[in-house]
Amino acid sequence: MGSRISRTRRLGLTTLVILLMAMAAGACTSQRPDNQLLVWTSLGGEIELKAQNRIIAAFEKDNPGVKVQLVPKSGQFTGDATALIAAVRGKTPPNVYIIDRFTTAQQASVGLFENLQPRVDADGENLTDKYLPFAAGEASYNGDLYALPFDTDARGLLYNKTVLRDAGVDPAVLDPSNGPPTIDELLEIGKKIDQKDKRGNYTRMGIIPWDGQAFHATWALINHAEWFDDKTCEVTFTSPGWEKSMNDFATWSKELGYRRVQTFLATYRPPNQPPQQSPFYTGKIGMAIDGNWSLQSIRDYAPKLDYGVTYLPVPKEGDPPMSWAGGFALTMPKGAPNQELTWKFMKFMAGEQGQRLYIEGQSKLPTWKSLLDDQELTKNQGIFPSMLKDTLSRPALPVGAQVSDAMDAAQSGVLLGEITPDEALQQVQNRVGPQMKQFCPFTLSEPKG
Amino acid sequence: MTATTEATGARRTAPSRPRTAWSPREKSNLTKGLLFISPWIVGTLAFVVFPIIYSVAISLTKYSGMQSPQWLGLGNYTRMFKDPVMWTSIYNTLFYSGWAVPIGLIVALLLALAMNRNVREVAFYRTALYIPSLAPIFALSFIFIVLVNPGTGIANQIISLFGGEQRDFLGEPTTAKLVIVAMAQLGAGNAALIFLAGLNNIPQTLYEAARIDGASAFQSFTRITLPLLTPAILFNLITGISGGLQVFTQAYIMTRGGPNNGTLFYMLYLYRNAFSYANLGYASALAILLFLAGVVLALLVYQVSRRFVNYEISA
Repeated sequence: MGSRISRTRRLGLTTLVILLMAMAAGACTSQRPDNQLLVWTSLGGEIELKAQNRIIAAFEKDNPGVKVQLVPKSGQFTGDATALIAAVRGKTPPNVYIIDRFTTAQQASVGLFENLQPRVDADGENLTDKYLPFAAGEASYNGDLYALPFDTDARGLLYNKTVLRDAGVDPAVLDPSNGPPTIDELLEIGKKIDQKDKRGNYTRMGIIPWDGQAFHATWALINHAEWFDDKTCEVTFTSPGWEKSMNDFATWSKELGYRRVQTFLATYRPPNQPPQQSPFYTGKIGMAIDGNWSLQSIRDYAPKLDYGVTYLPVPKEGDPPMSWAGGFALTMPKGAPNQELTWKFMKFMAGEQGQRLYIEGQSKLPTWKSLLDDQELTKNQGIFPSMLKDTLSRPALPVGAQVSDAMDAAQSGVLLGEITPDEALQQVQNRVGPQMKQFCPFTLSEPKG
Repeated sequence: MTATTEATGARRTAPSRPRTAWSPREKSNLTKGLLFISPWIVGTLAFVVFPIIYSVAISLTKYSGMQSPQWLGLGNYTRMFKDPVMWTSIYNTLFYSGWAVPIGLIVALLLALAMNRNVREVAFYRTALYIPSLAPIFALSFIFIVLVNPGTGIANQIISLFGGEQRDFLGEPTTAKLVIVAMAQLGAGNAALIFLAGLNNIPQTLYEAARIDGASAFQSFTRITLPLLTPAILFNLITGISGGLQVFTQAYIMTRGGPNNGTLFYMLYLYRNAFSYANLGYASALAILLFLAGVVLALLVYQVSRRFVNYEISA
């Protein structure tokens, strides 16, 4: 009997120990000390991480005893916030999350971020006015600032002068001093560059008007498409600008042969291709719609490339030059610890000094207005900095990720010829419209000063 | 055969003692038993039962994961049936399962038969045939991206040998799905092991008797091997359907659901709703529907299986 009791006791004790261990493990949530900040960043490239660490080193020098840890984090899809949702729900958010600025409104609308407007107001420094207006707009939700804009970019047309000459086209026709080319001119030049083998497979292409940055958002902005109607609080994806963009995709797909073009792309730009072998550098693609960031790659991987940069194509001769910009922003996740120090760090990193340190030696553009006037800082970026004065950006809707996914599907459906442009746009409207309605009343108003 | 049937019969006719009150010893044993399995019970309650109940509850709300949930009743469920993208994802998933599961069973059976050959180096063959199943799906996905590349991939090289046109298989909705179906066959080793165990359980005496009766190899296969493998077929069929409905990783890595939502499988759409669009309520409703669909399919398969599964003779 005695031995039985002792066995039961042993059993009970073992259970107790297991439960205690489980509870201890559960309670072991790492509480960061007050002098430490954790920063998650979607800017995970090697050069970008180095530049962010330069800013952190400067901040730590100015604030002795403070330690900032930088951790790269990025999702597979637009607006993918899996890690952040888990961290915020688990009450262990990072202090700062550097995100694609375009997704700020989406994440802010579901309550993932702290509203920064009260802090901006309390500081009384007119912080919002110090940023380029489009960037501040993108970082806002319903007029309140939820993120501090960080870097930005601009898009234009890159052309390989050697390829143009080889096709009998004088590269001077694309000189930016002549103003932006029209869409038709661009495609005409493209046709002259195209080459095929005996079996009809492309071996060289002039321009692929759905590749890289030449996607639905770019063409929609070029065609002055409307995303949203403030008065009715409705998305407007069946408006004329979108129709023109999708109709163009349908036409180009037929003219160029979509499947052959995709085969060409997969052949000359296979996954994990070394950057030196990019088809634009090797003369397999003559012209590409791309961004200022590509200039750094050209310097690094194709320094001898004879190329030029001009404005994005426009619908009609004489239309003014345009560009559109994206970029990143610093957010404070909901419930972030140590918010005073976090705010101080955010203002430093996204402020004049931080952005200067980030831009130096990189193909990046600042959102801090006064830095744009520093020509020394952006001297390697050709005409791109000049584009920022009148640049456009994608409207900051709380359904940005849905719009992006729905438009991706619409674009590929139209290009594959599986759906008509009108049907594709109607599908986007039907898919996103009811989602957007949930956020009404909502306006794309300017951020508060 | 006779011996097995007798054994089964013996089990069935075992005398059953009328149930009386628990003796103190039985009570003590029950307590100990429950204590021993308590980690499992706690784990199931915490990580299976609670999430299912929680998921049902939030599927009735609009919930971003952050703000407090808003009651919608059956709103998410009615919305689901009007959501064309969900129907596309269901079509894609059924297309995948409809091809991958039967092909997977055949491939696994062939592998098992190959693994079961009576040759000296059988251990080597077994290892070689099973190794692909050990590779993680995400690694296989990257390998397949290279294999089906139009320029350098072996699939297109073989097609071009026969004068065919180079194709970007991942660039078209149907072929992209078929690539993922083909990829699933590399995981057939696991199902093959189940079949192999089933094959080893078939008494050799049955084959000897069939041979004496003049049965051909094909007749032995269709009249002895297949009927006696039916429990293993049923098991692989159910796990195959369950896996097919949950296909996710391949599309997440290789195609991100494209082109034109052609590989947007149900789980991928659910994931996007939960984590890209922060529609946790809607995503939960999608999960509940998947759960119910899985249960219904499993019941259906069990019902149908009564007609073809033979438990009598397998050891």
